[in-house]
Amino acid sequence: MLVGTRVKRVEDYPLVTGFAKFLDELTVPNMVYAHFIRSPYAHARIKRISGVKALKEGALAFYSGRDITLNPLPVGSVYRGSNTPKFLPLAVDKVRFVGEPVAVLVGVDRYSLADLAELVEVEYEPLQPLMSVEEALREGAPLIHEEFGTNTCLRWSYSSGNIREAFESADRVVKAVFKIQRLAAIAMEPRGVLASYDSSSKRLTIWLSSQTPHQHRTWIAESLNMPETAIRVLTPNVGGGFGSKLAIYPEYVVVPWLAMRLGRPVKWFESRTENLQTTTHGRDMVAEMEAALDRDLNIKALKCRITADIGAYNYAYTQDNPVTAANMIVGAYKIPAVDLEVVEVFTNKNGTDAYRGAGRPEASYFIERLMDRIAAELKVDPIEIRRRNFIQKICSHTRRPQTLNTILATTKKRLKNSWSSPAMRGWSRM
Amino acid sequence: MELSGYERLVEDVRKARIDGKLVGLGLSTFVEVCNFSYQSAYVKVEPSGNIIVYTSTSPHGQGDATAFTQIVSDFGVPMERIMIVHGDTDAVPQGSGTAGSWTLTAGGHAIIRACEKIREKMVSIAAGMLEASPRDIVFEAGKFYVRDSPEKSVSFDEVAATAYDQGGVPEGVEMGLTATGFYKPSLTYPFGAYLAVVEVDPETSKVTPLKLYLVNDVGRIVNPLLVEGQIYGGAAQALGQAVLEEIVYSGDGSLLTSSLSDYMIPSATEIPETVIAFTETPAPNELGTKGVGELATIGLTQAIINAVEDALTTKCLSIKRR
Repeated sequence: MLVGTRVKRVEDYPLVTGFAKFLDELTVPNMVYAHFIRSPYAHARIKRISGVKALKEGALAFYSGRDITLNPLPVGSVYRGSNTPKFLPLAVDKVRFVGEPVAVLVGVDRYSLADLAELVEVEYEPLQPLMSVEEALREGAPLIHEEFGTNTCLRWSYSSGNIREAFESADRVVKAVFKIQRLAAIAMEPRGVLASYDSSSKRLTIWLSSQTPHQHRTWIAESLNMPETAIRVLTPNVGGGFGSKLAIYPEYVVVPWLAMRLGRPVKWFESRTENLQTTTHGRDMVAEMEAALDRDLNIKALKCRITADIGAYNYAYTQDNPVTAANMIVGAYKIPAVDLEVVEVFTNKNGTDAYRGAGRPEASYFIERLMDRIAAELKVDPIEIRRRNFIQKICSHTRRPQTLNTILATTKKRLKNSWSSPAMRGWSRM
Repeated sequence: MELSGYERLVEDVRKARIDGKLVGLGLSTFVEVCNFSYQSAYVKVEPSGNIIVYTSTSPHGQGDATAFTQIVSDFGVPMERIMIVHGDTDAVPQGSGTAGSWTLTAGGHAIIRACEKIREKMVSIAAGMLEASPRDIVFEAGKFYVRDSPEKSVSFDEVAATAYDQGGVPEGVEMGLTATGFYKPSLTYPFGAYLAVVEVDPETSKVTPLKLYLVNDVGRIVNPLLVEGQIYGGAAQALGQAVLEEIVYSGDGSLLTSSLSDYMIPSATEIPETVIAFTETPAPNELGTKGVGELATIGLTQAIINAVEDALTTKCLSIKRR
């Protein structure tokens, strides 16, 4: 039996000897490069874009959001009652975060392209940026997506057990607010895409630094109005993802579109600055928590309101993560009554999405910080407070802690399009 | 608690504090949920007897090709004859790639499903070759033989070759040796108990994690080397969340952390001695596996922050610990 043993990795030889190819090392004959012109403003109207000078100096092609008509990027999770914004691959009229692409330039090598990009003229009319949940929710705040009439993306709530009674009869109530800050995934290899179109067979081959090649194929096909079978997605060696290579990004649609339009293979590879500006961020949630305890240190009820700063647009599973955090908030503890609320708020930051754990680290962070806060306030051992409240019964069939059962089961009812989100497919089977 | 020698640890912290050091202990006990997504596999035994496994997962550093090779090898084939292919939508069957700690459990069972179908077919072919009933065929050590008469056998390779031999394949058995398996997982619940020891510099507020104790239950472990790698890596990212990393925007909306000189990630020098241990509560699936990719990231951050709070709250000294 090899299962259970410390077998050395079989995939390492090409990696450690340097023969393994990553996306940026791939070349295809006749290949050209794309360079994205990005907004330096967090919130602004686009007044005018011109690539005339860059074209005159040698750029092969230039397109702004007005020059090409592409569908908004597909979104993985859409909850009932949510405001799901249209994220156009190249912004039209308005930009909503620093780094949002407004135009694309094509050239024969990426160094001259960087110079040519300097010649692209974009005139902006800056608008007030909303850089926090507080600013975005303030009465009379400007709207990031005017069509919704609000800066709130989603409100979600769940309640079970007798919360009011638990709090009224509580021996002690402990309140605390915890914040888990915004992070970047920082995969060692940033994102990148190389697309080649064979007009005779009408097939598009796309090399992508991706965690989910099939999902990307589906989404790219949808974006370009092509059948899935006309697209082949290949992932060379991929240098990490941590959730940041799940979503479909503007470049993944624009670069294949360029390859088809120009009849030449086109490559784009992300710089680290672009990676920090435009590859999905994670976390950025605040939890206001309140626990009702009886005389014996048992938590009888928990209130938790999570406010998430989700940035300007929805990526793949943006709407899921704060809800997952709420779903998992009871952690390892038997808590008979819960009152959960999630508010997801648009701001002029890059969008959030799954990052290693995707809602579950946030949940564990909040509940475990609360357990320590309870221990400190009640002057009991942090180990003791946990022991008293651990789940004792585990559902024998699923080995699922029973307190989680009911919460998880109701989540599926809130889902709108369960076809695309793996998380949703999971929840919906509960 | 046993692993960390908790009582001695508390005593060490007490002594360090008497020496004026801001040292603290922090706990985290947590439950995860994973395996949201289905996976598939297409397994092809070539006429030579070599095996190609096409998986719908899309590993990118996790080492799943190794784990999958181990799983297939346990069907009775040497590892060096197994090749794992992923990352080509023209070749691999539909699936959900690699994320959500689901690759091994969902992807591994899809491979098992396909391998079971192949084994069944090979038994039928071997039965034809040995002129026996498939019910009496035993596969062991690379050979198929009739129960109770191991002296007369056909090898794995002979059966594979026969599957592609128009004249040799038994009556009523379809030619070829390929199979597709799909697996729809049940959710699994990894859990853990983590303890962090940190020191805070009273002058600079710098937080230095001194030691980490991570007890994990990821179900049955297919390859301890890979699992430990996932725990170390996940812990490093949780440590980044706790003490180093943050995306910061200025009030006017520009990104202040726009390079790796501003956005700090942990390097080997920031990662303290880490003690890893496991309990193995099998999940209700054939492999008994749960998932490991995200566990340490889910579990560790708050243990470090709880330790910082403990270090800074001198009143904690009076708390009786056991």
